[in-house]
Amino acid sequence: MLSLDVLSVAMALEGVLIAIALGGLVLLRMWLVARAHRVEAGVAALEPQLHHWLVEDTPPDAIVRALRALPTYVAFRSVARLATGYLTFERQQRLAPLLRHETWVREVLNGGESLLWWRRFDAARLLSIVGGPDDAPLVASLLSDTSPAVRLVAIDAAARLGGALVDFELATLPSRQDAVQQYQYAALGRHPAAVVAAVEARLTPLETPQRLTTWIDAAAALAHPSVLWRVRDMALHPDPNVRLHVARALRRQPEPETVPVLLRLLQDDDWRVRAQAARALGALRATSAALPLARAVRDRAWWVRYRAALALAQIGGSARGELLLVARGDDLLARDMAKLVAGLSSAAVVEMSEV
Amino acid sequence: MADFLHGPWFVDLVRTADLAILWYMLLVNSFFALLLVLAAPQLFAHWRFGSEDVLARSLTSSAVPRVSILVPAYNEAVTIVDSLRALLTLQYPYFEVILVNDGSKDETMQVLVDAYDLYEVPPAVMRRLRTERVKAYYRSRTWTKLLVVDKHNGGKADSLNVALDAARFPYVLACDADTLIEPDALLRLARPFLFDQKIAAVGGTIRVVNSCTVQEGRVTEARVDHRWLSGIQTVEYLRAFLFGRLGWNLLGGNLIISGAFGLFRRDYLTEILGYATSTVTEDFELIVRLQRHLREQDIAAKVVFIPDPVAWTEVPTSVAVFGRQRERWHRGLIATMVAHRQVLFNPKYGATGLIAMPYFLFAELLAPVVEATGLVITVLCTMAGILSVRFAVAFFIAAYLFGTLLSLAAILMEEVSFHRYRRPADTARLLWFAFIEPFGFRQITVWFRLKAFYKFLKGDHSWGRMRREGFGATTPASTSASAGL
Amino acid sequence: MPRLHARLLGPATLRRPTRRRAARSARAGAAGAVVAGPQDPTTKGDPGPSPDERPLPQPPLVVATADPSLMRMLAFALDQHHLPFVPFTSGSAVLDALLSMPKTGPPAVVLLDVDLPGVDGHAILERLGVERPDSYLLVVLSSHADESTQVRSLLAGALDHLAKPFNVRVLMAKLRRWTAIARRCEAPRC
Repeated sequence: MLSLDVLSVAMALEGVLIAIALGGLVLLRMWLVARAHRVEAGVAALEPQLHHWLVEDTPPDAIVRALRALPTYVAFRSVARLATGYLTFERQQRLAPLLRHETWVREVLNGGESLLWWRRFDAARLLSIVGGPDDAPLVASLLSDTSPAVRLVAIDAAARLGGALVDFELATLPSRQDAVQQYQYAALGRHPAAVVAAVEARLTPLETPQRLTTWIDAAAALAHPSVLWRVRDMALHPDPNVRLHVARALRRQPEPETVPVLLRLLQDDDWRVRAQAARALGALRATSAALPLARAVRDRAWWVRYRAALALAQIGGSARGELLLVARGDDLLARDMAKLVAGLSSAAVVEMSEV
Repeated sequence: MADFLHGPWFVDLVRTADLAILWYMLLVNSFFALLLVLAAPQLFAHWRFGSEDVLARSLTSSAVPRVSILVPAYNEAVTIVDSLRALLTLQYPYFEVILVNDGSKDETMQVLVDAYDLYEVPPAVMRRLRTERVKAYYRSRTWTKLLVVDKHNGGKADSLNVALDAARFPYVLACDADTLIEPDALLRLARPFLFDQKIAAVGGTIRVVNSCTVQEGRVTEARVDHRWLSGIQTVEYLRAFLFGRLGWNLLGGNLIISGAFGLFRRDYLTEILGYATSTVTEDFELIVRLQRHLREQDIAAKVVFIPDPVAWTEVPTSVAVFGRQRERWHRGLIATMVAHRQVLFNPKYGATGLIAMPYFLFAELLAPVVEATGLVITVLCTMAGILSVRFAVAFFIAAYLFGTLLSLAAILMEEVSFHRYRRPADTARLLWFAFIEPFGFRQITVWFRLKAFYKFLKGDHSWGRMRREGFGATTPASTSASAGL
Repeated sequence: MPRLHARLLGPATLRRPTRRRAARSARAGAAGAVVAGPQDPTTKGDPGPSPDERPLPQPPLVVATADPSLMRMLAFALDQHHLPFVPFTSGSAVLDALLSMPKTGPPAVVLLDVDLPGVDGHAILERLGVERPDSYLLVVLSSHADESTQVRSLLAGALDHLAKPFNVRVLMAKLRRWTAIARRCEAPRC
């Protein structure tokens, strides 16, 4: 069983397999290099046309014709690279209808139903540049793709559809990780009108707290006044997580009515809510909050002291005076925090309060 | 005596032992081949995602995590300004840099104060971990992202813990003061977050910077060193990172994230009380403890590896320094395995307990013992005529040829995907070093790792103060350090 | 495109290139600019207009980006709009040039790509804010355009923060406006 012969056969077999793999890799390399060269040539050929269109606003027909002349993958990769680097959303919107019915575009978009993830990825990528309302079903399926990379790029594709898939996008949102949610909010901001109504409709006390925090974050990203009124009304929600997100969202609402709400949240039981309320008051430059913030610098929780001190520094004027008073006070922890923040350069205050 | 040596009983024993050793080597190599197979599609995927237009588009958003970069420094007066500036100018929207001066005996602190216009700030930091006493905190008037901490000497792990306490962002990047991190490395490390994964730790690739062209803290041209020791280590690192770690992504997560370049979630690190100061390989020990914590608390977060973020580090060029490094790594490996032995074969710890830890025990820890024994038996017994030449040939193939094949695979994968070494001369050098690795280098590593056993068993727990020797990464460059046994 | 090449050599459309201006552009050119060379031939032998009709001196336009395609596009656009400029591809080079520009004369309008190798664009802002406050009209060009980054750039002293990809025609219109503003500035501050 353990004989040398069996071993020899096993080794030989494995050796052959690895050798085949190596040979395959060499061929793959040669192929990829050839493709890369063609893409570079394609980009170089397109650039002058693109410059003319962007700078002189000549009709983009030359670009469309130039793309038609290239092999499909070269056209696709060139467009992807140039769109990312130089085309604003608006310019892409102008170019999209001209390209949408090109043969090479249809060929790439047909990959949206492929079993191979990279074909679906390419389809989503191209849709994020030239997509239109007709592509809504395909984008919807890509939004719920098994591959997270495809889903991510599909979010950009959905931004092209003028809000057609808003409900679909919002449905998937609560189950995603933070980073993906942030990415989604940025994409949703492209067509605020449709999204605002949808988010407003979901900001009801009937929603579960977990979903509610997602809608509140979406509202904060949109920064639309009417939606933020709804958010403000949730400031007294029983769940501390919800109140936390409300406090964070209210930094986007520089209205006089926001300040009293934030001052109430500054007295909340949960330290995280107090910290975000202090941060929001600083962002709003609420001069009337100087004294409450000075009290908050003496809070038990480190984060509350930190945010309150930074807020006082941000507000400036008499608030800064309050900060300096605390820095000379008798509460040791508050004094240290106040001295730290008071001694920061203004650039550092901006950095630490913004980020 | 000669009769005994050529007697049937002894010959059978030797033959069985040698066969067993050969099968062991074949199995270990097959496992590496499996890692290679698992790595290839991931490499393709990440190469795709890391290409410029996709990277530029998907990572210009504000969706990336906020990162505090932790940099422990000891006696780095000569290079600290350049390395720090390279860190401060990384292409990333939200980060801060926390440099901890670990009681340097040279003018590191003075250099920092002058170069960065530092001013002292009150110690308003939330202390959660026990560390050596901190002398003072400083901020910079010209660089708002920088925080410098001056403390009494306590070792790298202790400095990292101090920095961990001072960090204000939810994620931390632990790195060495002399590691050169590429400008877009952080952006690439953030990819798993955008791919909807709950992350506990992310690691990137470490490459060898010896004889690369470095300007203003950035590697402008990647070259392969012509000296054999650093050259072979370049190949070794390629193997370890390009498919060693990538393969593990699909086998339940990595057990190694390099201390020179690893992104961690700060909460989890604080929960496990930070780095252990009593070990010589604090990065390996940290991950083992982290994985244990995640399993025990039933947290579904992952430890992943991404191949395209790159950090460059210098490797030892003298055999003595190299030997000390390898001996220390292996000693740390032994100590950590012993300390966390209840994870071994324990289904409660999932893939970590059932696949990763056993792998480390059999294919990494015991590897030098098996290889040394095999070498001794085969050579001596073939010379003495007890074993046929076929055994010797088989041993040679199993022990070394496979390793070479795997190195070739790694080099080719590098050529195909990232292609950092532009000149054909460098590729040729890599191939050359892959071929000569079994003739000397492999045996040297075996020798030093055996020494680690000896030192460990002798009770030489000189873990104590692990003084930095200024040559970077403290990770077991691993899997294939012993690959192709 | 020889005309373009000539246009890239600094403030070549000046009616009266003073010694100081020539020295400044030579220094800027030496400090890492992509091109350098002789002055535009049209200005040689030009006697210059009389003092009353002499136009205000053109403020220098500095463009710093490491992306060659972006530089090509900006060069094309600036050429079309007859705006001469000095290109830079490295952060340290542009910082040195800006720190060593003379303190009199109209302030330079600087288009600064934040993703520069060598010295980070934000660091340049901070350094200039410390050493030469208010002497430049500095516009930041960045891939990141979220709220915090914009606020940070602006509060650090930038005139404007533009996100990539930006609209070229709008940028050209803005540049004309900014150079007009710069022209009317009183040296050394603006």
